[in-house]
Amino acid sequence: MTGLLDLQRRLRAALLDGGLDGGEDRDLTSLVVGAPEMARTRLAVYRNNVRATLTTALKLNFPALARLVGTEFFAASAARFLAVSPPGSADLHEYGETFPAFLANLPSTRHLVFLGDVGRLEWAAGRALHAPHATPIGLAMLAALTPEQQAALRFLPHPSLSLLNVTTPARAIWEAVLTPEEELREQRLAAIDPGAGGENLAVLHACGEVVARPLSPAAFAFAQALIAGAPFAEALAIIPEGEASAALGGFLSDGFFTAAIPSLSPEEESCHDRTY
Amino acid sequence: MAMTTKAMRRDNDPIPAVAGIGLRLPHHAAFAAERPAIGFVEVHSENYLSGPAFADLVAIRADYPVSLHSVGLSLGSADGLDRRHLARLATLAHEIAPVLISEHLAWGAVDHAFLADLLPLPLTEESLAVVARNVAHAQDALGQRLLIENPATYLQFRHSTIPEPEFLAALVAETGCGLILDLNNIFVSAANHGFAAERFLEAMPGAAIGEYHLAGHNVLESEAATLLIDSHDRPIASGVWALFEMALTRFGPRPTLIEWDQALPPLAVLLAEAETAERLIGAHHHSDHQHDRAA
Repeated sequence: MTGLLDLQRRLRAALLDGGLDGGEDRDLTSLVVGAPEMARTRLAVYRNNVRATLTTALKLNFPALARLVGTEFFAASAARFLAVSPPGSADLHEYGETFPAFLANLPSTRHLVFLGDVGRLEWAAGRALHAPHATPIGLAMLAALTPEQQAALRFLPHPSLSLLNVTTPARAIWEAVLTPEEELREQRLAAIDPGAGGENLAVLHACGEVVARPLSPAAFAFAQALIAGAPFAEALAIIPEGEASAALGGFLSDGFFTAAIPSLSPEEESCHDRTY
Repeated sequence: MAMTTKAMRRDNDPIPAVAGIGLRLPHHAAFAAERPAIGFVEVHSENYLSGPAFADLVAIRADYPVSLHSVGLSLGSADGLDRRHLARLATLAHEIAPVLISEHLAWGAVDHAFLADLLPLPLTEESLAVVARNVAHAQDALGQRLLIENPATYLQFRHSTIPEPEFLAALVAETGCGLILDLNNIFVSAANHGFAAERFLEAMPGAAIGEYHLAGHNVLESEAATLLIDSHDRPIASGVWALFEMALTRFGPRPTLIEWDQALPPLAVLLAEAETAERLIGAHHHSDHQHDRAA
């Protein structure tokens, strides 16, 4: 008697890790109607479907990585990745968060030092695209407040916003490699110095398209503090006085925030939540 | 037969027995531009949980009845349903208000690993208990009756004890769910396992059928076996159209879906297939109508 849970675990292993060829689960083929050869062929249909679907999902989530390493290498890497890291969600847009690091750490890609960064940027862009919609606030609301009121404000980040630090010119590579036209793409890629330094990026999808905005180290720290919920006055201490208003203006015009709320004590806040 | 047909005409039929098409992302722009005269569209729920596709679907829902067809709920999972996924589907269903909501008699997840495929179940008492429990759980969460589709399968387990139509009938009896009768899947499974498609069809609990599915399949030749694959990448085979007509005669008209997922042709090709289905439905509507008036 084969229990269903046990069968499903064995099938999972056989379908993902390609155990049908090498370390074959002979008992599994013996559970299938038909001669062993026939049973293997039948199981292989499912194995091929699973692998093709998951490889396609990774390719759709990481088109720049697929271009950078080439279709064949990408597929071979995906096959190895999915065997150890199958999706944790039925929504395949959520598949592959750890794939950039996996790909970047393969012995044969270690010289492509930018791969991991490009993959993380691509992942952040994908998550931004699939974040819930929300309307950002503009600059105007700040003007209506007194300096004291402004100082106490806390900002709610746009659901699509994430901050990312890269140590390579990942943004330039990402933008260049996704250029549809081949000749232009090659020109753009050739113009990038792969040894150029990194940058601090804010990735979001607030004003119609996914953008990756480079931020100065001070503006990045300022944004981090605001996103973490620090009151405005407290976050201001992080950034040189001369940079603060330009940085905040940039955040607001890019749609970083969906609300600015007066700072309240936790008790008052929960009360506030109930009332509204 | 007339009794069966009559019993099928429930007052709560959510949409009339018209033809619809499976809408896929590459067709969104053409669909929005052409706004074809079509009875309903069906989408794979998992592709519409978030992002631009969801926004497109909200716009489509304003003008067309939408059917949500899930492929990732894994109703056959022995370790139960993924609660987060079920909650996300419930949110989608709340926002889209689908006319039909459906899944497959299959599994695709175990130990929180999702294999993104419709994998076959051994048809045993244990599996029936598992699927019935999961269907009941899903229907509670979704607040709507699920239609469960007969799958295309490429293998059978030796320890299966229940014929698939009986399994589905028992599931209906236990959970109150409805069924999708996928005629291409019957055709494919019949060829792959050597049973008569007509016998399968005759054994199905007709009153529970809420929708028909039609699609194309291809042939996989290997040294060991020739298998039909439910590929959804080409026109519907003549043998499948013939089964569809048998189903119409036996069970009566139902909402009927044209599915095409791989090697997508222009939208017009799907619409032409839907027209063919609509014509066949119409012919049976007509004969039903005459029958009713005579009665």
